[in-house]
Amino acid sequence: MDKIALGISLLNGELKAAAFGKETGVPAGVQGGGTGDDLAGLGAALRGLVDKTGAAGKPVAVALAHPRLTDQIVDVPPVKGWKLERLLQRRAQTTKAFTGQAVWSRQAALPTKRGGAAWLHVCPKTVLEQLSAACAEAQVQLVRVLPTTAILASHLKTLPLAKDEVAVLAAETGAMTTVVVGRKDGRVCVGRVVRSNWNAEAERVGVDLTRSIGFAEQQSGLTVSSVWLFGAGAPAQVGRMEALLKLPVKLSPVGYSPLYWAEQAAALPEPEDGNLISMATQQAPQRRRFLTLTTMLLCVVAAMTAAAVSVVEVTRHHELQSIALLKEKMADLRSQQRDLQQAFDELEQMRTMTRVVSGEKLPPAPAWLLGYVSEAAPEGLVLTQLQIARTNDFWTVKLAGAADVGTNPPAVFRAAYQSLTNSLATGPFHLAITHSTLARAGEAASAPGAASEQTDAMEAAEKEPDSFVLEGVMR
Amino acid sequence: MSAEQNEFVGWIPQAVLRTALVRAGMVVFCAACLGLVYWSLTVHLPPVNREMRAAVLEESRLSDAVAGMRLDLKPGPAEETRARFKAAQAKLFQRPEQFRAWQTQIRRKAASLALEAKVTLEPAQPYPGAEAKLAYTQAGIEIAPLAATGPTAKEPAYYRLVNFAQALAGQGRQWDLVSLTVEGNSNSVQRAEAVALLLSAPKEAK
Repeated sequence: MDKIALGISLLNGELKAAAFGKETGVPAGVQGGGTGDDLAGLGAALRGLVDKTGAAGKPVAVALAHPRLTDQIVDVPPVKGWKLERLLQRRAQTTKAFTGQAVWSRQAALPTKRGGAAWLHVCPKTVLEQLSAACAEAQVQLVRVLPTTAILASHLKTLPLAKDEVAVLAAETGAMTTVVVGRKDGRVCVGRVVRSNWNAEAERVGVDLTRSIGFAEQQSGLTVSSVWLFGAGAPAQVGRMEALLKLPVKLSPVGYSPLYWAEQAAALPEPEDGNLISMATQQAPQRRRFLTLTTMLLCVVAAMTAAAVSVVEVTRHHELQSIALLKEKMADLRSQQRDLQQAFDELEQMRTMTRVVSGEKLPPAPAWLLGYVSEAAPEGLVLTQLQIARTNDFWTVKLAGAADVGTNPPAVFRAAYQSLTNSLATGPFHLAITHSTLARAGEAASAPGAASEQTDAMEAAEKEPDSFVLEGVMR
Repeated sequence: MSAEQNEFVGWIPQAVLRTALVRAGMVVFCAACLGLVYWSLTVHLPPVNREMRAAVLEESRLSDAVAGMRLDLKPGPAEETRARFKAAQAKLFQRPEQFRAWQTQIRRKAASLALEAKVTLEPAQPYPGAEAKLAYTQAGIEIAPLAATGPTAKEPAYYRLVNFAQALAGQGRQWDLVSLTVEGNSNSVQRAEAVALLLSAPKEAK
């Protein structure tokens, strides 16, 4: 929180302000006049004070004593956190002595006979809204509204009390008297504002103090041992009060000044100060600044996100367009490729056809072989069959024949057959003999190492004696 | 502790809830922004990148292939091939009259050598490797010797067959003698059969 520049006391309509110098921090007092309990004209009065102190735009703190600002000691169960807050909220709303919504704050209280307790300051929400509106009108930021009882509870810490001693501290707050009963640690068992002061009605104040003491002792089971007075007229009332209260009555060692409440409003330490302004409201400016900054950052993040996503989208869009173009081009290329392939295939077919038609004519191997065999066939052999056929790149040849009539000696037949095979294998045809069978009555000769062929030859010999079969290939 | 506006939502103070909601909203917003960027970069864009890369590669491959084919398909050699093809085409059997003329020619040749030739033509079939441009017709020629008269009277049937085979071989390239089977005895022919392949233009090409 920013440093408070202006402390204001608004004690039952009596307005005073203490401005703190920038360098010295020493307060300079300003009298603001009265506003009445209804706070009418508070805005104008505050504006005057702000103009005089030059505190416009700065944080201000208010010490408030108001007839409708009340204090309550309430019993609390042993709960903490939000549960306790909710409980106190209900208690504040149900025990308030006015109509309309209440705002409240709490401070530590002395335990009662029944257990733990909290000290509630309860104020009408409208009063706080009037204060806020007046501060806004005066262009200052209201960050603190402290009940005078809360300031007085802090005052207890300055009294020379023993550790467990319970004392009454009464202070003049304008036309009224603020009273707290508590210990040196600041915890109280009673806090109230009496509607009179000792300057005007000392007896009445005495009676109220006596009642407060009795109530406090009844509530807490403790004994009040001293009474302390604070205020402009306090020194004159010590003896009188002592007589009325039948207790030692002393003056507070804290020096009184007319700006005491305004100064304390600004200077009181923050923790559990009884501030009626919520933490959320106190931190509203920082939060607004933080929110602005965060919003800007979020805007930057959003802008960067939008930019990144846009870049991605644009890239993607371009790539999709490029893909579409590429697909068109690919379709065109495929079509060209097909056409070219067709042209190639057609040309290849033309080449093949041309090669087949215009290439070398097949040699007249059948005629040649037919002629050659008639010349090469030796005496003693008769050819009975000649087959020659083109298979792929070869000519397959099959010759079959038999021994001429009268070629009885096997050796002659064998020699003739040998001569024929030699002529075919070594002659112009270079016939590669793949199978040859020579069958002679009563014997069989075949290519060496071929048992199956030998069997064939024997069978052939049985069927047709003195015959041969010759098979081969040639280019 | 103060409580200017200590409203509760359930057990939670309204201010705390509001702050938490605002912060959660900011976190959600930032997370959404980051998520959007992440989704854009890792989910939305990569498939298109991949498709693009694949398309570029495919296009490049096709371009190279087409360019290579264009280079290979030079106009000069292609025209030469076409010219040779046309010249070759002219040599083929194209009309039925040509087949009939060929059959007649074979029979005449055989007759001149005192042989009887029966020619049988089978249906045309596509020529392997040049199916669109070339067909072949297998012709079976059954040859049987006749009683010889005149100048060939003294020649054995075998020699007449040799002559006939040589005469067959001396013809043009549009047909080839691919098979010959002869059965008989010493210098005699009982039966002979030849097979010739006649090259023709396929029906579609006609």
